[in-house]
Amino acid sequence: MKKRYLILIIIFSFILLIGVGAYLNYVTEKNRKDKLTRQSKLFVNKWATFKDGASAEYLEKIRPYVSDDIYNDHKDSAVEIREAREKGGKTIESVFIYKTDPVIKKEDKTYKVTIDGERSYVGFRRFDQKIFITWTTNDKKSYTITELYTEDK
Amino acid sequence: MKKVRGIAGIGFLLAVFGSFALMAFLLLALAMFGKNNLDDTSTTPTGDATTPCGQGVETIHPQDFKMLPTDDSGKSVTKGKLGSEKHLDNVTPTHYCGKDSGDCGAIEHTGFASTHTTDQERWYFNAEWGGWLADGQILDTRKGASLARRLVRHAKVIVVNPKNNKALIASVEEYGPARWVSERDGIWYGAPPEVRNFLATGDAYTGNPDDGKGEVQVSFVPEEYQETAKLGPCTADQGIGGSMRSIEK
Repeated sequence: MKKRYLILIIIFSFILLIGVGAYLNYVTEKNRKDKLTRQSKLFVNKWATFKDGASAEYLEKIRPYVSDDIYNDHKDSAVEIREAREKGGKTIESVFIYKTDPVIKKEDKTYKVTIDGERSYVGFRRFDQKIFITWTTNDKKSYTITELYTEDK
Repeated sequence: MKKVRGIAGIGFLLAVFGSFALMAFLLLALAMFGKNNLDDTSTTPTGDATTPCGQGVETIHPQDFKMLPTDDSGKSVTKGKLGSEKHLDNVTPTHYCGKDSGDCGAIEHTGFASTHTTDQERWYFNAEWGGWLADGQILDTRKGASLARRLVRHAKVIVVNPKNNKALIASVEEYGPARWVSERDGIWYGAPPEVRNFLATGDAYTGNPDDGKGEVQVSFVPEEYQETAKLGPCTADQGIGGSMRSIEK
């Protein structure tokens, strides 16, 4: 009889352990997703809303969020934007307005965030834009954007 | 008597060898001093004008992203007028200046934010490359644009003057000319004096975008030949028809 109880206790403990593990995993995952969603919004507020997309201040603002490759690409492109201005181009202000909250999905070791909104280059043009962000980590603590692009309509 | 003859013979031989040695020394010195990298006044092109250009392609982007400039309808511009660009100043290891260079004092462009070799500086080419600035002023953020920006740096293009069939392979070292120049004169591309002199394209700044003056055809050297293709003149006999046909597919 005692043996039966013991087996039941072991099975119950095992199920409890799995349940607690799953719950903790769910909570951790939810917290991580919430954190990355908040970070995505903070990033987009700096990346897609700016007074001057070629200024040193702009580059410094986006630097903590993105990989070296993405940062260097923006840095090099800023040189071209400044040169285009010297040839008659204008400094164009950009504003991104959210249409929906960011949607986040886990894919392997990365988190992919999609944000729907409206991009406005002030006094120039305005269009619907979807922003795609991929967050990657090496240590599960800090995440960096390793892929970043838009779909313009 | 024999001794005198012997000495004379040795003297003669020494004089002959000495003359050869002196000539060799002079030739060596001439070769060394004649090769001045800082001011290459040679008019002979570095490329081999007898080498076929090969068949060009419209893009070397794996996702078929449009890397050549696009017109208002979104179509790649493979034929357009060639404008004047000045010398690049961000050079490694030397600044090229030859008889085909025009005014070498007019150095004012930096090109892409990376260094370029003397050959890349001499045979360079620019355009409003796809993936750089949408509308000439805003960074293109669409999918594939970032990769296009990476791929186009120092990429090799085949440039042909269809009027005289002169062709060369040039390196992409800069972004431009400004969009308003394209609208005013139909000038979609730019190159330094060395390229324009060789192609003999003439003055494209006519104020008429449709007159075709100074027009060239442009395509990318296929990816598999990007590393090995030599910059400078090539023969368009096999390149021009083939390259443009492949683009029009």
